[in-house]
Amino acid sequence: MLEQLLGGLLSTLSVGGLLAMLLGLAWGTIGGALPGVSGPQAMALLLPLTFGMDTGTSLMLLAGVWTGANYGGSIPAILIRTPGTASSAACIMDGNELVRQGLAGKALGVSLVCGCIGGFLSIVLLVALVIPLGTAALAFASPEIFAMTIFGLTVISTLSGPSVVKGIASGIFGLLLTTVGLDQISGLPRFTFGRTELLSGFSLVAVMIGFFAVSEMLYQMAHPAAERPAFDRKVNTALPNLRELAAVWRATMIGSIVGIIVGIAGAGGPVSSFVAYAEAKRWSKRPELFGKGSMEGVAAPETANNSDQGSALVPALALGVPSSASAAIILAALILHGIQPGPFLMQRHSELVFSFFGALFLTNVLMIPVGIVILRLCMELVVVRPALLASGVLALSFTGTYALNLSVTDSAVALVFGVIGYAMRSFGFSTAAAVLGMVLGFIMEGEFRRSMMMSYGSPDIFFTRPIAAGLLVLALLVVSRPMLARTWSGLASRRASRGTIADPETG
Amino acid sequence: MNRRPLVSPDLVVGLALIAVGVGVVSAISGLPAGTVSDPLGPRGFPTLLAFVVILLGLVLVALAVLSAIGLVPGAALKPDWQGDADSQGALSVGRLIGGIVASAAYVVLLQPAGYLISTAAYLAVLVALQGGVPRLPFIATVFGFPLSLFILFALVLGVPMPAGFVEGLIFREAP
Repeated sequence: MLEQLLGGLLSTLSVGGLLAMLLGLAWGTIGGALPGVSGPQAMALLLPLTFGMDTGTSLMLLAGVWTGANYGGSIPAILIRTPGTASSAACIMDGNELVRQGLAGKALGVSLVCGCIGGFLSIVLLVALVIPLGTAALAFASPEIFAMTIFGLTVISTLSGPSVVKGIASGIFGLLLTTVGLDQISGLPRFTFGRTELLSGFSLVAVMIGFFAVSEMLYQMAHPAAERPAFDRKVNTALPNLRELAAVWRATMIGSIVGIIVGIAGAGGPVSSFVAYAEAKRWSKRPELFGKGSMEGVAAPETANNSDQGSALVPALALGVPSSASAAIILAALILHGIQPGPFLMQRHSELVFSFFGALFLTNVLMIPVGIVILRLCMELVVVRPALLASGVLALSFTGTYALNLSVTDSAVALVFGVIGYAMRSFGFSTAAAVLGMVLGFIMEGEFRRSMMMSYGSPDIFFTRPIAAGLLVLALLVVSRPMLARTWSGLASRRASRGTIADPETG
Repeated sequence: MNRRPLVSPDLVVGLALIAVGVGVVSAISGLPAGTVSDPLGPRGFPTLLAFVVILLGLVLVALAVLSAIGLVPGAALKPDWQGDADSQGALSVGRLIGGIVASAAYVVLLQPAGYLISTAAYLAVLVALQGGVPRLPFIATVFGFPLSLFILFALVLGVPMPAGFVEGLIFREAP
């Protein structure tokens, strides 16, 4: 494995690879820094550009965007109390307080370095876990793969918003989208309504851009935000020295552990950073400083923010089940280049996967100099008027989708799903769950039908095979968890209130 | 316990889900059923999904009705936290509809008018719709951004961008 990893690292050290990673880091940092543009959006907007690249280079580019966006979001969060990405919201409390104390550069430096440490640790875990998981997945046949996709869908659906019902409905909507076009087994058209443009189904990239970028920009246009506050732009990143890093080591470790666990579970994003903040405060020797300018209050959430990304890739690369929107986009990039994600990815394309690992390692190292250099540009862009930002991103979205197949149909698809995504968001549905459903749908139907062929039409096959049955039971538990938790807490509070009623005889 | 009005967003959404499910079953009904070699056939999977969607819709409708009569707590329609965590203003329907109409017009006119002209016009409409942008950034964006994108896609990436009838007339080479 070490040889393969070294090989992967060396494969990234080409001129094209380095350029792709640096561009990706720059784009991701800028995208993350712009309030209203998230990491998945920055990645989705680049997908059309990767179409003409070879698969390895496009994955290196996306690795750079991935890493850059995690840091980029903290720049406006620290400087102007406006998170660039939802995951960066947790570092506002202490980050902006440090700016008031004249320590803006140091706050940015801690965010940058601790984020890179978190990212690095999660990639080590990714490499350690993905190979044994991928090997174990070789024992998976169609029923197990189908059950795995069901489990992945329920996890994402239940964790992607406040309503379990709406989360699952969002995921199912994504699955339904993959049934449009020619049926993969019989070759018959489904839901095409006589339109030849729909014979090949909806472009995954166009739908992603619609859901992530177009819907968000429509939302920002329709809900004008206040002007960004001014801030001192004469700030330079001040990297922490060893003593300062040692002072935040506990928070950094807590952030890493929390981020890794939350990333594998698929909760990701704001959950990991806020939980890491709370835990770092609980275990800190100076908890009273949290909220008043504690470096630990920046280190913990930023470490978690980065470490959850790598661990979220574990199920995606080992099993083909993404547990975050960014992981889904990585899988979409593979699909775009004709590579089917799933349990056999490691066996059939190991050199590609290790090259991607190498890119993730290298981008975490390169992030530090890129983050320092690009800070000035980010600070200028952070105060770009929202009207210009939304308009620019919309124009880029439609340009990118046109470039996919030189067809306005894809741009129209992006617009339609942008409007649908806006409506979904307004009614509490999750576009991320829909995208994940779409990524899974390409695998799910095929494996389901093959399973039924194996069993001559009997669904017992999913319950007589232990792994498949176990995964389906887990999926059921995940879906029932919120209801069970509410029932349990209701019973507990009723018991508690009965216990506090005074005994009339004794008083 | 808080009650909610009967006609709540959840009720509307629940009914919409039921309608979507019924629509899917109806649209797929013309396809052949499964065979011995393919028990599910082309309509099995979408039909299964449609029934799950109908079931979810019924659950939402039931929750909305039970909430309206006070049997279950009414869940607040929390905003989706996936988007920008920055505080956003109230809905401007005019901007939303204007943005959608402008985008639709842009997609329709992209090929006939040509990339540069249609993109510049699109940006001009969007920025003007949102307002509050001084003249210099407005001009820089309307003219500079399409040109930058054209350079990136057409010249750097080699993607042939539509020249269009209008641009063809303007930039036609002299005989």
